[in-house]
Amino acid sequence: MTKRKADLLAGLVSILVAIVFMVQGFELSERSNALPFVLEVFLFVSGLYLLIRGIRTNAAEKGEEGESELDWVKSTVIVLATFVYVACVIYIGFYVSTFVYLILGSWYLNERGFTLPALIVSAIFSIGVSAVLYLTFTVFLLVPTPAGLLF
Amino acid sequence: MLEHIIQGFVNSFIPFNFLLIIAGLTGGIIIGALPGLTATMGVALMVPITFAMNPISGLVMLGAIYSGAIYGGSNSAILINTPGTPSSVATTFDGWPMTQKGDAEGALNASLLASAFGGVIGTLFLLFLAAPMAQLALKFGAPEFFWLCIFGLSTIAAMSQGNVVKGLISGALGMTISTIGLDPLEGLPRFTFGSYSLVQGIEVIPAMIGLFSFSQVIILVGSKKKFIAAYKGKKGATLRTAKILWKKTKANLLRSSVIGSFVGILPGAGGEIASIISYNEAKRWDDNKCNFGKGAIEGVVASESANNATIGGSLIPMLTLGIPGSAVAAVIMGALLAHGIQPGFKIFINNADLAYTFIVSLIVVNIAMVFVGSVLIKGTAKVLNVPTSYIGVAIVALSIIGSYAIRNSMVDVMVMIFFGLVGYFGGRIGFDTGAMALGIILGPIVEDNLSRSISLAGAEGSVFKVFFTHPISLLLIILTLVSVLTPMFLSKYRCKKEAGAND
Repeated sequence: MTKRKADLLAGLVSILVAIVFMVQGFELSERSNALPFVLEVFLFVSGLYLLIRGIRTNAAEKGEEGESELDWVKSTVIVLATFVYVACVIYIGFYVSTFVYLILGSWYLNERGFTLPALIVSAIFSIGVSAVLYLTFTVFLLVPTPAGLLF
Repeated sequence: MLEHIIQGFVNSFIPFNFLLIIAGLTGGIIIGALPGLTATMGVALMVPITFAMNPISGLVMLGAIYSGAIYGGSNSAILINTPGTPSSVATTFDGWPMTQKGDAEGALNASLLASAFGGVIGTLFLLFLAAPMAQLALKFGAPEFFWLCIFGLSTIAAMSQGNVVKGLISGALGMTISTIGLDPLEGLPRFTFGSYSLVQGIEVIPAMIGLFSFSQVIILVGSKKKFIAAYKGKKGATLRTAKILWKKTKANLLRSSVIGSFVGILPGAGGEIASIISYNEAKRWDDNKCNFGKGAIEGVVASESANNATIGGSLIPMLTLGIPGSAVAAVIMGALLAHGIQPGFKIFINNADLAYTFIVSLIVVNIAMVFVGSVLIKGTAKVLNVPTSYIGVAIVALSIIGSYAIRNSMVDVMVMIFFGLVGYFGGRIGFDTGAMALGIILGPIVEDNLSRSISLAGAEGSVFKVFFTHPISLLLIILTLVSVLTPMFLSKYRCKKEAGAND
């Protein structure tokens, strides 16, 4: 991403957050809104500064946060799969959802592709991780895990 | 006193007590390394077990869990960029870059040795300076706490050199987010956007797991890397790191441990503030400031020695005044009370054997931690040999259970995912996740102490008097100014120097 684009986006985000919180803060008392208001003003002013800096910056200037090569499809699929996973945790339960997520997630990401040996490795990995999580959290530490219809 | 100290050592080395130390350390390190499981949770879980033991053995074990958990947080911070406990946030700043550079073993050993050193210094403070330190702690009111947090926030300026505006915006965003929930002044819901789930506010740990961990998974699974980093265990790594630390970081270790011990005695200010301040100071005093944030061993040392030194510090007000300096100290105090022992200065007279054994055992715990930790490091570092296709999804599962475990709430899981996306997209436009985490951690403490100070000013009739005339406040204001201005001046000086060289 170019420096100009990064500055413009960061400025817009900062201003947007400031406005959203400012609007919400209207219904608060002066005391309650004191620190948030100072922060909102700071975000708004700093956001404006970034916007102006972005407009003035040479459009071709490279940003510091140089973009590394990233497989967008893989990242997006895993994020979307995580949304589905969380939904399943609520309705099905943690361990079953985790088992399925780990198998499918690691199978999808595997370098060998959708092959049977890769699926077997993913299944072994998934059983191992789920068992370690179960023993650590449920058996030894007695930490409650999200329970759903299933286990 | 000497006879009690000797007796304390003798008691610590009784086979049963020593076994409890080893078991407590191992359990503590594992708990600390798991994101979402805190030292408080680990110690609280084990309190009922101590009822079946004599109080000395019980306390020795709780001390070992406490020390192990605070150190354990650095393992996940270094290996997967996920601070296991809030006090390990500053460890990620250099620990994770060290891992990415292929020096995970160096970072892990540095954190282990620094933690043990900090723990011993903190315990020595507890042993020899408990009374004067407790008196000093009593001089810390709301205005002093407020300035201490502002001093902690000044780290943002130092850590975001070259991008100070975005660093400050990140910190302000974190602080703004931390205002969501019940208002500390009036107890009314604030910035909840109509959602009842947000009334309790944003929990720090899920937010941190998201910012550091989930955002990293998005990058990891999309990267072309087969492994997180290259790792091949080498023999004698602990000894080699010890030599490096002795050569390069003596002053840093001592300074950070003293800061940690001092911050630890202040009720409410824990390892997170101590490690952030120590990191900032280590950077300020170091000749190679530019290396910080890029994998400087000094950064790991500062953060880890400080957070473990807070343990001894936090026990000072608990043992001497009956005021716990941290949540874990409060749990330990509860265990003491359950055993019928009343904390306070008299504990050193009425229960001298117990008090001194507990304190001295912390020295033994920290020395034993070097051995237990170095064995565990060999296992934990192997995580780096697991391909990213497996480790990425496993981190997601761990992040979900870790976030859920804090309050048994799925809202925290959603908060974690939200902050993961914020961390990822924020990182792409130059926002600093570390600064945002500092804002989220320090925001509530700043607001709480600011409002109490304003109330105090109302009673005294002068804001100026309350905020700017107390000696400790003045000292902290000066330190904050130095902390903010030094990087600016140094940056200008460096620019002039570079310009001169180019001419």
